[in-house]
Amino acid sequence: MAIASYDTLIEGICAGNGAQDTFYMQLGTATAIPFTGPALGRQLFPMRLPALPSLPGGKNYFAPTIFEACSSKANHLTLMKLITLGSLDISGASGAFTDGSVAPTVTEGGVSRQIPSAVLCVVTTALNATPGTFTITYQDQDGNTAETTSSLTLTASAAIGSAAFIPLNGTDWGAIDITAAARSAGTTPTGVLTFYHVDPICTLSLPQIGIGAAVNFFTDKVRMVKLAAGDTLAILGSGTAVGAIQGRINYLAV
Amino acid sequence: MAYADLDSILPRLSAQDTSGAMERMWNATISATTAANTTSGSISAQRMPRTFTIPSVSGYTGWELDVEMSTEDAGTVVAALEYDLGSLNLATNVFTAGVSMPIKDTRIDGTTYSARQTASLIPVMVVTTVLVATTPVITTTYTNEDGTGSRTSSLTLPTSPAVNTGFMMTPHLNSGDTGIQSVSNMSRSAGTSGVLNVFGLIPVAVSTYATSASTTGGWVPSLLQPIAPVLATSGETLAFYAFGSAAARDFQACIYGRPI
Repeated sequence: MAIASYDTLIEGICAGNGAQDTFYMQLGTATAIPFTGPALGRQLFPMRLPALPSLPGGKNYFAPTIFEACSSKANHLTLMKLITLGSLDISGASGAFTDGSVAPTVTEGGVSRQIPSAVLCVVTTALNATPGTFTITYQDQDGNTAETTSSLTLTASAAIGSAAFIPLNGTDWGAIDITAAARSAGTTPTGVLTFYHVDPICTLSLPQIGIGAAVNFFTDKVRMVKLAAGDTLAILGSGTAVGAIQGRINYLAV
Repeated sequence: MAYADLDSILPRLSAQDTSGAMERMWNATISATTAANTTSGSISAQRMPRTFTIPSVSGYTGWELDVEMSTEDAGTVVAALEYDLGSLNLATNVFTAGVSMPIKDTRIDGTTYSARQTASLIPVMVVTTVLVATTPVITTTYTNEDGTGSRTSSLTLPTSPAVNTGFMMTPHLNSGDTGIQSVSNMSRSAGTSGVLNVFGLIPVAVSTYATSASTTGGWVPSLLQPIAPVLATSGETLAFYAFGSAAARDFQACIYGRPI
């Protein structure tokens, strides 16, 4: 649908083509930076926003209109769509890698291309006290032959939700695929790491406990984010302390 | 899409609806760098070692960028189109020429968009290979914001600054100068190894962090910033800088683009 005027969007909202989801997410156990190196702790809330419903007839995608939230601690949220590139069960002789999807192909600026992303590593099963080290083998943002990262030392007893971006080799900033991952060292290590491709939707700074903030996608960000039926969104927080967030997100079927 | 379409919101939304917007998650981690002093820019600066290459478009001129950044230390973070104006090899004292600041279509003085020679008002001298040098004096010969050549700038750097350290050149430009269009020469008084680059920047997004823990980001919507919109074109480099600290840091950037 061509957007003939700003009123087209307003009319769509008034015609009932909008949707709203409220959310409450909590991390009741403190997390950790899952491996040595990064200086910024992040935490992925295990819960996801509800999957988007089927599109109304004649509509092509859901566009977020407003995202608002408050937090029980000072927080910096990233709303995003995740694609699982793979996972690594660190138990056993060298861990067991399960391959996932590759980076998605989308049309942007009239060009169809596969879009790379920084690789988000998340503890999805808690690590034990002696988890060892790990590497990933990835195909970089330019599609070059897969290469392996330097060994990263896992953090003992990192809880579910512990998250950080993996430092890639040289000047690489992103990956389009993870082809392998392996664990070394450790003592009877247990735990699972999941590696994600991140499609960012927006960020929201919440410096004051309990005081919310909101972003308007049309007037603040001037962005038309395209989400499909069935898409689920995730929220990444900052720091490692326990905490909860609540809020809502509105969508318009366009 | 005409540059004049930048004067309203609807064309920006329509272009994304028709042809798709750009969305990227970018991240970098750096070790501690070297603090600046009064002879080397005063405000500490850091350049993230990873940059983002602007992708191509079809049926448009380029991208209008929006960048949301976060980091865990207090200071100011900047996303900027970056131009390598030249470099100096301290081992050989040999200058390698780079590019000049680009010509960009911008709207000035109420007229329509037209091509303008840009100048960097925040040129940064960056250690791209760690220096071995005792308080080296770096002399840069440049063309200023008005196109006047043979101007000189002199910075005295700290001893052997670490890689990714940046030094702001603006305080040390020739009296009255506010920016650099191009660099024609660099030389050093001392030093046995290392490489310094002068990067010219056109800022795209700025965020400020009042405290640590990345929780107090002061993101300002790009359309409300006092920066005339500048399009990023295919192949250009988007770089990321932090000012105010030399501490090790993580730097997250969500890069968005509207095709224009």
